[in-house]
Amino acid sequence: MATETRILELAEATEVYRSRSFWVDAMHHFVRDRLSMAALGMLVILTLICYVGPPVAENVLKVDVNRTNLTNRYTPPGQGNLLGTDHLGRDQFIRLLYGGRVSLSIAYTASVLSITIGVVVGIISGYYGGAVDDLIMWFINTLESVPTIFLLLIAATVWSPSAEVLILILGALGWVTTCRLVRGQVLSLKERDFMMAARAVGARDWWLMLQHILPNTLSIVIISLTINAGSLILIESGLSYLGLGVQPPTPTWGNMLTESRSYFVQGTHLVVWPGLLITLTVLCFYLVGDGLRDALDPRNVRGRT
Amino acid sequence: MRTYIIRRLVQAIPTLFGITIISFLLMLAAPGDPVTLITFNPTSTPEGTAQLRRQLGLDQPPLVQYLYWLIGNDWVKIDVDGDGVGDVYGTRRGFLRGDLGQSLQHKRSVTELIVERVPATLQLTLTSLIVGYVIGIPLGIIAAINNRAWFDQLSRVLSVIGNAVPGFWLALILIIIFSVNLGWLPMGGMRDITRPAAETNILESIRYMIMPVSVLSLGIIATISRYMRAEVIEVLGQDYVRTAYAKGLSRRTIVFRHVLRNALIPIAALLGPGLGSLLGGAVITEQVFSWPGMGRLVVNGVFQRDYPLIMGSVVLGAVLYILGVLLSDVLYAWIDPRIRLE
Repeated sequence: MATETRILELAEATEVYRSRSFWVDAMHHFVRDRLSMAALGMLVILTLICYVGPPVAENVLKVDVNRTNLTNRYTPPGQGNLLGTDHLGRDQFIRLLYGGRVSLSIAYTASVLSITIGVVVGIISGYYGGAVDDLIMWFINTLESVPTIFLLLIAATVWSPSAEVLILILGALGWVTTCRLVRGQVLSLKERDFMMAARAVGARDWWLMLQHILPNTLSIVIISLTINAGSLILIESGLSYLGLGVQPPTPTWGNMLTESRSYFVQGTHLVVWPGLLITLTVLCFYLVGDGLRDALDPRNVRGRT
Repeated sequence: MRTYIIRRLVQAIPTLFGITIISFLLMLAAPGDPVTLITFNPTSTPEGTAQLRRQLGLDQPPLVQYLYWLIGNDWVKIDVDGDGVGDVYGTRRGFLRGDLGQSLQHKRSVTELIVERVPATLQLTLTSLIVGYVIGIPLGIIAAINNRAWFDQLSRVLSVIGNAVPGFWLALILIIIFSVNLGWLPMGGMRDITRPAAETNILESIRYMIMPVSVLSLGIIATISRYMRAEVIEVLGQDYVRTAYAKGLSRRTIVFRHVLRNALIPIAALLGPGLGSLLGGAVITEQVFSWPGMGRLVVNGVFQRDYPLIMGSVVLGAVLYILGVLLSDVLYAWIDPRIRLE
């Protein structure tokens, strides 16, 4: 009895010594990464401004997003309009805010959509293996070998692009990488002892997948979400540039840039600002993704203080 | 090695079929009828349109259309006048026999059109790939050797920025600076079109390539330098490097003789997707700089609903991608004996 308590005490003591769970540990690591934290802060601020800012800005600056003013075109920044006006005399600042709302919404939702598809398909593929896996892998290989831009081009012409349709298209085409990663993870998880133990006590397939596999793919999910959101902003703007994104007059950063290319001699500021915002946002997403990858990499756990 | 290559080629067949099926399904889902685009002139009659549809095989069920595309229709009689009796044999030989069909928009063979455009695209993308590797690899090495020092931090930030900048925006900015304001470089195109192509010398075509190549290679530099850095750092931690240090070899010898050889191997694996995306990778850049390559051909084809042209380019792009990946895998297996071919 005495020895038993002793062992338990010892066990608890070790627990206390290394009590921080994987997630707490990862968070500590991430918080200490200044560059990534700054990027995260920037993203939060940008998102907040784009979602909350427009009505406030409209009242304070006395501008309206759709009001055109043909006598006041291509005003450089600072002369009455904070960031100048475009080829129709619309205020660029407020359009950037509204555009950011659309661009960020597309990025966030399409990212969530594609990751969800990737995780579900990846878990099924890795867990069941066999013919199901072969079929899914065949499909993935196929999708991967077509240049994505070609598929996007076709899909965007086939279904004329509103924001919602664009989200569906981007989500439906962007899940492949995540799926591969998740599948790999599942394949290694399947062989682990805890899976065998769970199976031994009679756990069903869906329970194993939901309770034991899904939580273990969480780090992949979080990293993919941020990186994907960044790439999606780039892709959205690229499609817009080809005239296949969300159509004007709804502003997005991408189609504002597209409109500006015809007027860049008169209004350089119309080219500079949307592009800068895209770059900044994507940069932040990538930096956060990078930081998360460092923080969530189990190989980094040891040696942390 | 030969069996490995053959096996990989055989494995590529189902993928290729998948691609043809997917792109065909996408075409089917497209609203709007290519025939209405062709007959978009006041003199067309309903009878003429119907006849055209029959000639193009558009009146057939999807599966038959796909079959015609795949193996051609020169073995069936096509009912041109609509009386239910076949009249003349078709003219298409099908994808499997190297015929990608006729472009609806250009009224020419798709294969011909693509072959015409591919050199321009390759000129652009191959140069960018080379520039990207030539700059990216040393950058990664220097960053790795100066791990955590200012150069490393700088290169980390720069490489993330390099991936985050939208290429076409960078292109526009470059055009504004170097073409509009400074007037140093031409805004777009491949050569001075007021003079015959033969008069364009290399030096002049380089001037047309500077901006598109810079834009395209930026992303490659960013990616390659990151990978290279990670590889070099990993190799520097290996036992044989420590042994080399213990032997008293100079840092230079160690880096060049021991580290680089091993660190370069995984970079070869990146070459495959790089080579594979050569055709599709420049679509938007070609658009900005009016570069007369594949990208512009495809984009125009998409807008004109030129189905045979789109199908052809997608399938060809995929073939190139599969071959590129195969090439790099073979290269990988060849330079690294540790990789067993099963």
